[in-house]
Amino acid sequence: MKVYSIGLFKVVPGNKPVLLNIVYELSSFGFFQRGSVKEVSLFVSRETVGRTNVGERVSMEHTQTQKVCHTTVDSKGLGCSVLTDSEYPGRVAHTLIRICLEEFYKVHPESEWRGLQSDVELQTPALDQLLLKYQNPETADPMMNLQKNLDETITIVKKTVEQLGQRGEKLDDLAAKSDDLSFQSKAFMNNAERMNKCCGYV
Amino acid sequence: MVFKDRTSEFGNLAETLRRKQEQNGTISHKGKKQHSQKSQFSYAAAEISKGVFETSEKLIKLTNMAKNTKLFMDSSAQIEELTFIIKQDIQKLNKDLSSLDQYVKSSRQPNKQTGDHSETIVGFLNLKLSNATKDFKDILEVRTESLKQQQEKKDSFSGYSNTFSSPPGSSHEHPSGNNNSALYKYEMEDDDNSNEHSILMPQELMMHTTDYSSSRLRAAENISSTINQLEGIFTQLANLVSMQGEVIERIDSNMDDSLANISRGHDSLIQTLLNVSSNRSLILKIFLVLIVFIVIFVVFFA
Repeated sequence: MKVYSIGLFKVVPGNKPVLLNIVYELSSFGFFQRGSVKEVSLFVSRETVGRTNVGERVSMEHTQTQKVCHTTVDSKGLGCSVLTDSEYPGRVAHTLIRICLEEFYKVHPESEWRGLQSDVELQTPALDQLLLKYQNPETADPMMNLQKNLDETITIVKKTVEQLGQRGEKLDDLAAKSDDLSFQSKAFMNNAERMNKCCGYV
Repeated sequence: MVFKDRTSEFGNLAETLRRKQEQNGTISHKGKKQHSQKSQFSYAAAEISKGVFETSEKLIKLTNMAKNTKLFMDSSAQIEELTFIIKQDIQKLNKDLSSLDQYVKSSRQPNKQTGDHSETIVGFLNLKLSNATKDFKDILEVRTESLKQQQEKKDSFSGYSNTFSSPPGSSHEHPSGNNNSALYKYEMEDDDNSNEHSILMPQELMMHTTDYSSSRLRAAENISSTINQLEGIFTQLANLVSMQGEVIERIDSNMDDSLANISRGHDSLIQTLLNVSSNRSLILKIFLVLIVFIVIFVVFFA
């Protein structure tokens, strides 16, 4: 499960989206492929973002290569597009998009990019970190994290229950043995007392 | 109730009255004029009522046709024609009725009764016509509804075929210098982002929209059901542990019993050993036997 790129665009309906920032994580591709992959990713992101309506969450899957492009355009005209593989859960991708948008607004206020017409590179270091962090959706997304922890807990608890069952069996065994023991000791006592009381000769 | 048809008598009476009036020339003339007026009026009213009746019949036919339209039975041409005809009829009837009304108002009736009568008739025809118009409007509304539904059904049926048949847009192939050809080959077309959840575009792309909230909901529900499971498992755990606790208590009491028993037995055995190993009993026993012998000797030999 991988995230390949996060791209931010200024979307104006009717025009082509203007690139504001894009970060890549292409370690899975061979060194010479990376250049073309970057270009294709940029193209796909731009096109998809351009065709997404405001407030709509789109996940476009390309069935041949098993890659998905998730995009959203918010009301201020800022669009974000994330490219992942098809195993990556869409929900986490959209959470990532939401966080990226927030981060971007923190660093670059709207006035900075509202009037831009051509592609720029507005650096946002937080995006790189997010990209790295979200390579592992289970740890990054709190819901999945919770689910994972709960699953582990359930496994452990089930094992515990099984062990308890074994303990129960052993205890039952012990109980039977102690019953026997008490019975035998009583017999022994009676015998000894009888011997002591009635006759003195062996 | 026996009734007798006295219209002939009435007719005769009317005749006699008329003849009497005929004797006064001008009055009869007016009467004739009135009569002709009346007949003209009644003739027009009869025309209008016939028109209304016919229109309402056509309306009924139109209702049936509008209700019967299903997806593939398309009698819309007929319906359109009928609608047009009915509209024309209604307009003509309206015009006739208004002209009749004008006529009634303008021409002064000698009798108040006839005036009232004609006004009532006009009002009645008006009412009938307005009813017919209302029904017509309802029918038109029903028809537009059914048309809309038909359109929706057609859309849902032909949605797939539309996207399959629409020609692809520009196909972009990325020029790359290496032997490894471009990783993506896209044939993007003009999307139509409809409200459906996933659209199958020609064999290359699949688009999902608006799944975010429902997937989050599902994830949250999963988590809550997992937690419920955990609750069940922990309850079972507690039950098992308590049952085993009881078993352990039983074991404990058994051990205590057996300890007590064994210690008592041990004590008595020690006692026996002491008894056996001490000399006292021996000496006692020997003396006893001796005394018995002595007594016997003494008794037998004394």
